[in-house]
Amino acid sequence: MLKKRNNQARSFEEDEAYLVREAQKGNSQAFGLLYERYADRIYRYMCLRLGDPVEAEDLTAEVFLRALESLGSFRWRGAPFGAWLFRLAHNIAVDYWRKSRRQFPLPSEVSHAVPNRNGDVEKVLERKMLLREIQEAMKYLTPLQQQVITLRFAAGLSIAETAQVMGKKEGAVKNLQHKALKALRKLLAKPTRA
Amino acid sequence: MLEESRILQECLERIEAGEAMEAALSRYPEYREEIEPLVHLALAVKKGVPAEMPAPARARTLYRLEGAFSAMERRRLRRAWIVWALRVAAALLVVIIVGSLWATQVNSAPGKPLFPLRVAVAETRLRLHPKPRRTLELLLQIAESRVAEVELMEKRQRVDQASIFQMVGATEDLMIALEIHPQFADEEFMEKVRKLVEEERALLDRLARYAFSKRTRHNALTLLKLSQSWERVLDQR
Repeated sequence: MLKKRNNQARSFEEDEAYLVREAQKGNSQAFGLLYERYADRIYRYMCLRLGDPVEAEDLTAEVFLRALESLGSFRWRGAPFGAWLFRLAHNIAVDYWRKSRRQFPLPSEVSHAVPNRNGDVEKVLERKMLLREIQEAMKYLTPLQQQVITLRFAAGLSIAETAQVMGKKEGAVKNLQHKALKALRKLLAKPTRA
Repeated sequence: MLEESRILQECLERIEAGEAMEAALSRYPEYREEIEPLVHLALAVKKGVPAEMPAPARARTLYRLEGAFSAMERRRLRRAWIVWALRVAAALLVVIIVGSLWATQVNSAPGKPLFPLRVAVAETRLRLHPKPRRTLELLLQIAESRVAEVELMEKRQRVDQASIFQMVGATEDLMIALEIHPQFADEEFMEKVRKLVEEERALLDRLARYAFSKRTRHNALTLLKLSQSWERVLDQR
């Protein structure tokens, strides 16, 4: 019995598709392992999207509860489970902003902001490295730029994984990442953004 | 821009893979000025986000997930019960419908909607029966009994519709059997059948003329006309 369990546990570690199938059949242990695999990444994603670690904890739980509800409809077509989960996280984050009526500023607002060319970006960064500061600056990026920064540097997804989540080609994601970092740098260099 | 994007990503990948930042940046001297602040920023964002979810929050989420899983299992079980209940109800309905059809076809007479079904059932049973001669004898006995019953009712002036249909139905079964297994009916047997048919037709004729109930007269006349088809079976012999 123990041997069988050990074998099963090994399979769980090795094969995500197997874990998903088991979870779909109602195996709570399998879903628990999927949770362990993705919880931190989803949490970091939410932290940066919301700028509030406490809210991020709640929304991370919400992502997995929603995933559990709609797990039956998940099929391995093109995008893997992780990409599906991050899309779910993205939708939940967008819903959160909508419900809390906090509006992302329009991209045109960014163009009105004049960067402080004399400021030393690196020094400013050292002071503004706090999560809230980065998140505040990110509000001024376009939704796609926010997403690429969050997926790449908060959730720690690779370019290929980010491309799968965003439904874009890898080249486009690299380009978007470059633009997003440039825009964020510009925003963080400014003393005030309001 | 495309080349810069590629170089930036390449440099980030090197650092993610463990290469020192200075070493990674020094690989791209032409792009260094452009990509260095961006690499710093990317790493700063990474550092700005908590590395992992706090343990209490993780435990809380797991607890909520377990609760949700149990609730889902309960719902799944309830749905499974409903599905099974529906299946059992459907099976019962089929049994009731088939049973009703069977019961109705057993007593159906020529001209009735279920008579073809009765003929088909009788034919199948006869073809599958291991002793055709014995079957023919039994069918003759049953048909004779039905005729005797209706004659008795006639004498008592209490003939009911169902008895007339049963009588004609029994003779009809015998005719079907004779059509399927003619080789098992010898001349002596056929003589008994002719006598039965003659007697039954005479009885139907009397009922068609003198029965008290108009409905009985009508049914008897109809069945008398239908019984003409028996002549074909008798003539074949």
